[in-house]
Amino acid sequence: MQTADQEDSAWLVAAQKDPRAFGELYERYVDRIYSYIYHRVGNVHDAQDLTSRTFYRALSHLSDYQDKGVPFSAWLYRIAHNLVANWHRDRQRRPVVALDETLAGNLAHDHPEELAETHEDVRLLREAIRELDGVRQELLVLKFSEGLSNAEIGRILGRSEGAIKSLYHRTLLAIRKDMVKRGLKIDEDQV
Amino acid sequence: MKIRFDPTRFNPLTAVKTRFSRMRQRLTRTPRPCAERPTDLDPIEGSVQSALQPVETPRGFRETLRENLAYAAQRQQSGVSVEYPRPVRELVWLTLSLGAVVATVTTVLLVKRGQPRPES
Repeated sequence: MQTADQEDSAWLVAAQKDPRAFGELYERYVDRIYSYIYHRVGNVHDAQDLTSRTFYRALSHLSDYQDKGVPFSAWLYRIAHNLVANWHRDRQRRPVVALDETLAGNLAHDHPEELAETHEDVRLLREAIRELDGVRQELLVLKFSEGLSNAEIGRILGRSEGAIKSLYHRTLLAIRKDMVKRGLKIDEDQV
Repeated sequence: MKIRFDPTRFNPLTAVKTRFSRMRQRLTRTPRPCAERPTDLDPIEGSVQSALQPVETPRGFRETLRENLAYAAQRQQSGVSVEYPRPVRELVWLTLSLGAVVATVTTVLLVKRGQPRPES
């Protein structure tokens, strides 16, 4: 049985011969790339624009891609990462993690006061995430939104698995410290 | 007053033995492996996970991009280079900028024509 990476490689070889086969790779990754970009830029308009650019760039550089142990997914995330970095550089503004759609889906509470309280807690948490540096934000998005392992994140960010593990730990500590400073209590039942 | 030594209450030999025994226990104890991550970070991890749920790609956008990419792939197959089309917003700005430049040049020319020419 083929792994996802092996299947990607097979489709990639096909797409390098005939770009029309790229559609399969698009179907496999569009949702993950969109979600990743959306969390990094915080609005639908720019997320759509950057997702489009990511796939156009991947399509036009298919012939440049060489499988040197880096899976196609990591290459694609790398393109998205560079585009998001340019986006932030161009705008010189902080990324906004505005996840209203997901928030609405997550908060299915019966009591309005409970809803308001949780909403406020999530807002504060997102503020804390927003104030992290770019690499830490990216790590969290790749880990939680994309469900990638430390090794996969390392390949995308160009760091070792151990470095990612350590950075992740430090990031959680930083968030907890920030949350304590903001007076938010994090407990098991929350969110 | 006569002080009687009560071996049940204090026995120096037992005390020394106990101390040595504890010391030996400490020295021979197998060190516990360091926890990967303190468990008190679990709640914050859960909260961050909830805050960063995957988002759904808008269906219309997904379909349109797929069609555009299929078209671009066809062009690439026939040897035409693939370029990302400028978004509408950029085109609007470009048009407005060009319009402003043309309007300014026209105004300057009209003003200059309207001025009386110095007699030579």
